[in-house]
Amino acid sequence: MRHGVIGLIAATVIVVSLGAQQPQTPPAGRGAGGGRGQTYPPPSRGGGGGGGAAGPADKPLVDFALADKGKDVWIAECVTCHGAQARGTDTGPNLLRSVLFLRDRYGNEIGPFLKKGHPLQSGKPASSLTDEQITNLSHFLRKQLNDTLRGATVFTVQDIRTGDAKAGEAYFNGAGKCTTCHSATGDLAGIAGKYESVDIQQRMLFPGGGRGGRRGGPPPKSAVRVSVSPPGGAPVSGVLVYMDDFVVTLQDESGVSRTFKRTPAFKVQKTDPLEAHHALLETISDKNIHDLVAYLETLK
Amino acid sequence: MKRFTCVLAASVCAAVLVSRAQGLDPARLLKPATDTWPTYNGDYSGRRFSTLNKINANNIGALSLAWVYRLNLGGGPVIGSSATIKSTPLMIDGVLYFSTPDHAWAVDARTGREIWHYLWKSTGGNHLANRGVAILGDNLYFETPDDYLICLNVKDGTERWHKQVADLNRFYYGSVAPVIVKNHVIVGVSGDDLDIPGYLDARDPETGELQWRWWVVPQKKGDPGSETWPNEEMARHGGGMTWQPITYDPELNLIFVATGNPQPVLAHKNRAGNNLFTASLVALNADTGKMVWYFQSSPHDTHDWDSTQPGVIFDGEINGRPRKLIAQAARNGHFFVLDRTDGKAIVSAEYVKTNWALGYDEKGQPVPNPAKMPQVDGALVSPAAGGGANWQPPSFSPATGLFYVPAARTFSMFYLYDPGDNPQGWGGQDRGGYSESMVQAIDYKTGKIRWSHKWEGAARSGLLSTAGNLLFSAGPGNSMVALNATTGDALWHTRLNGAISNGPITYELDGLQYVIVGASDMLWAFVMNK
Repeated sequence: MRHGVIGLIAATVIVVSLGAQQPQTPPAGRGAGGGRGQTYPPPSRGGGGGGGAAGPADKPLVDFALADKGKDVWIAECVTCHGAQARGTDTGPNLLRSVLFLRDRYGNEIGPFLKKGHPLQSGKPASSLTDEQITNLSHFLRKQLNDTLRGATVFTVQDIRTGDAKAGEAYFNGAGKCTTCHSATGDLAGIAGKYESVDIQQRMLFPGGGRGGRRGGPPPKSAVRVSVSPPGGAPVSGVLVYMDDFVVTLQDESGVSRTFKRTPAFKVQKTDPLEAHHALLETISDKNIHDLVAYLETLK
Repeated sequence: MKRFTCVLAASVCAAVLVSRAQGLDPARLLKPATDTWPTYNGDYSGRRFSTLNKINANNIGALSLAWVYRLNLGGGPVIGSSATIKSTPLMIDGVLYFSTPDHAWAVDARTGREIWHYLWKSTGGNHLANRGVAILGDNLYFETPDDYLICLNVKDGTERWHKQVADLNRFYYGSVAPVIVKNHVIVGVSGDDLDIPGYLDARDPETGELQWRWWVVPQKKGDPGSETWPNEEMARHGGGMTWQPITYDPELNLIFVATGNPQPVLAHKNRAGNNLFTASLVALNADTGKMVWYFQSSPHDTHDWDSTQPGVIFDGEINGRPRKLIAQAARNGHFFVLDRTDGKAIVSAEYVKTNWALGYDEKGQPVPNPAKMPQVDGALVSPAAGGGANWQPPSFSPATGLFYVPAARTFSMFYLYDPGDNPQGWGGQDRGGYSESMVQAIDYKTGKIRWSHKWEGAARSGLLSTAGNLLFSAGPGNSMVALNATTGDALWHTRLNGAISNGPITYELDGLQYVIVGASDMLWAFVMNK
C-alpha cells in the first residue's frame, strides 16, 4: 500500500512537472545550411509539428486548457496503472499505442469504452465520469501523443553542458588550432552571452549558414573565393557565385558578375575560409566538442 | 489514290497502336524490351540499366529537347508534394504513366500531351511523396497518402476500385510504387511518426484482397526475430517500413524487400537488441510471403537510417566463380554484396567514410559503436540522418561492372531528447549538418571506389546507366548531367526548371531513343534525332 502511495505521489510530481514545463522554441531542424554553401538535404519525412502533416485530416486538435483539466482526471483515476505519460506500467497498457485511442475523436471512442465498466483508481464506477471529463481526458491523451512527435514543444535539446572547460581551453589553444583564426578576447569575447549552448556547439561545428551575403552588399568574410586563369588571359579573382563541371561564375572586385566556361586548360583555384572547420569534423572527438563548448561558455 | 492508300495505312497503323495501348502483357514484365519501361526500376532487377546505345558518350552533345509536360492538378489542392514528380514513370505502348500524392496521369510519350488525369479526394496522411504506379493488363495501381490502393482503368483513368491497406489513425501513409509479381500486387507501407509495425502485402490484382502479409517485426513472442527484442510490446510496435519498391528474381521466385529503421527512431533504451527484421534486406517467397533469408545492414539502428535502398540483382563473377548476387548501398554509408540464394555476405565496405561502426560481425553486418548513438549532449556522426544514400535509386551497369550510388558525405549532431526508460516516437533528432554530394562508382567485386564524381553543390537524384557508356544524374544548379560511365567525366548537361526529383528513364520509340526525367512539377523528354 505504501509503495502504491509513494508511486502515486511520484507519478503525480512527474505529471505536474511536465505540465509546468514552459513552451520552448521548436527545434531548428535541418536545413540550417551546411558547408560549402550547400543546403543540407531536407527532412526525409514531414511528420512532427505536434501532429503536422501526418495522420488523418480530422485528427483531434488539442485544447491545452481542457488537456490541463484532463490531467486532473488522469491523476485522480488513471495514472497508477497507465503511467504519467500514458505510456503504460506493469499493471496497465501503453495507451498511446492503443488503436482505440488513436481512433478516438474528443471522447467518442474512449467514453463508451470506459463506461462499459473500466476500473478507476478511486474505486468509483466509470459510469460516474461526466462527458466533459471524458472529453478532457481525450485532450490530455492526445497531448501526450503529440509530445512524442517531431516539432512538439517538449521535443528539443536538453542541457548539453557536460564538458570540462579547462580541457576545452587547452584544445582551443593547442590541438584544435582555433587560435589560428579566433581569439578568446577578440572575436569570441562575450560569445557565451550571445548564444545558447547548443547554438555555440552548432556554429562551431557547422559554420557558414547563409554566408552568401546580401545582394549588392559586401560579401561576408566566410565567402568562398575563386581565382580563375583563362588560357592566354589575365587571372581573375572574386567571390564564388556558382560553379559546376561546365561553368564558373564569380563576382569580381568591382562587383560585376562574370561567368567563364570551364575547359581542361582552364584553371580554377578555390579558397574556402571555413576549410579548417570542415577538416575538424574528421578529427574532433565528442569529448573535444563538449569541452570546447564548456570553455566557450566561460567567455562571458 | 496512292495518297488515299497512304492515309488508310496510317489509319490502320494508328488503330493498331490504339488497340495495343490497352495495358501490359505480363510476359513483358519478365523480359522488358527497349521500347518499354514497365516497372519502377525498368525491370525486376533494380539495375536501372538500359541496353540502348543510340544516345552514347560520343554523340551526347546532340541530345535535344523533345517536349515538356507541366503537371495539371485538375483543380486539386497542392498538398505536400502533390505538385512534385517523385515517381518514376512507366512507359507502355507509347504512353507514360506516373503519379504524385493523390494524383495519377497518362501522357503521350511522343508528344507530352496529357491523355488523362485522375484525382483522389484525400482524407489526410503524409503527402511527402509518391514513387509511382504499377500496371498489369488494363489495370493501373497506386497508393494514396490516406492508405488506399487504387485501381484505375489504364485506358481512360477511371477508377475500378479502391481498397484500404493500412490504418491512417495509426499514422501510416502510402507512398511506395507497387510492383506486380505474377498474380500479386506487392504493396508496402510508410510512416515513422508513431511506433507502428511495418509489413509487406501481396494483394489480388482483380479485387485488392489480401493474399499474404509479411510482418517486418515479430507480432508475438516466439516469432522469428523476437529474440532480438526485449519484449513483445516493443517488437509489435517496432517499425520497419517498406516504403521502397521491391526487386524480384523470377528464377528463384524470391522477392527482395528492404526494410526501414526501428521505432522509437533515435531514443532506444526500451528496444535493446538487434531489432529484427528492421533495417534489413530480406528475401521472401513470392507466392507465400515466407522469409527465406535476411541480412541486417543496420543492426539496432539509432540514426533513422532505414535500409530501404533497393537490393539490386545481377549475376557476376567472384574469385573466378559465377555467382547470383544482390547488392545494396545502404543509407548508413555501407555497401554490401550478398549471394542472393542464401543472403551470405561476400563484400562489406564503406562507400563513403563513416564514423559510427566498430567493424563488421561474422555475418558481414556493421557493429554499431554505442558512443555514436544519440546522446543528451550530442554525438557527432557521419553520415547524418539523411544518410550516405537515401531513397534515390542507384544503378548497376553490367557493361562497366560498376554500381553507381547517388551519395553524400555528411555530418550532424545526434541529440537524445528523451533520456527516459520508455521513449516513444522519435525521442531525439539530428541537427546541423555538413554535406558534400557525389556519385560513387563501386567495383562490386571488391567494394572499392573506382571513381568518385564530386558535385560543386547539392545534387542527388535517381541514376540511370546505359550501354551507351552513359550515366545520367542530377547535377548542381537544377541541372541534369551525363557522365562517362567508365571514367566519371562530365560530358553533357542542361538546366531544368528545378532539381531532378525522381530517377531518369529511357526507351526507344519510332527508332529514336528518349530520356525522360522529372523536375519539380515538370516532366522533361530529351531525344536523339541523329
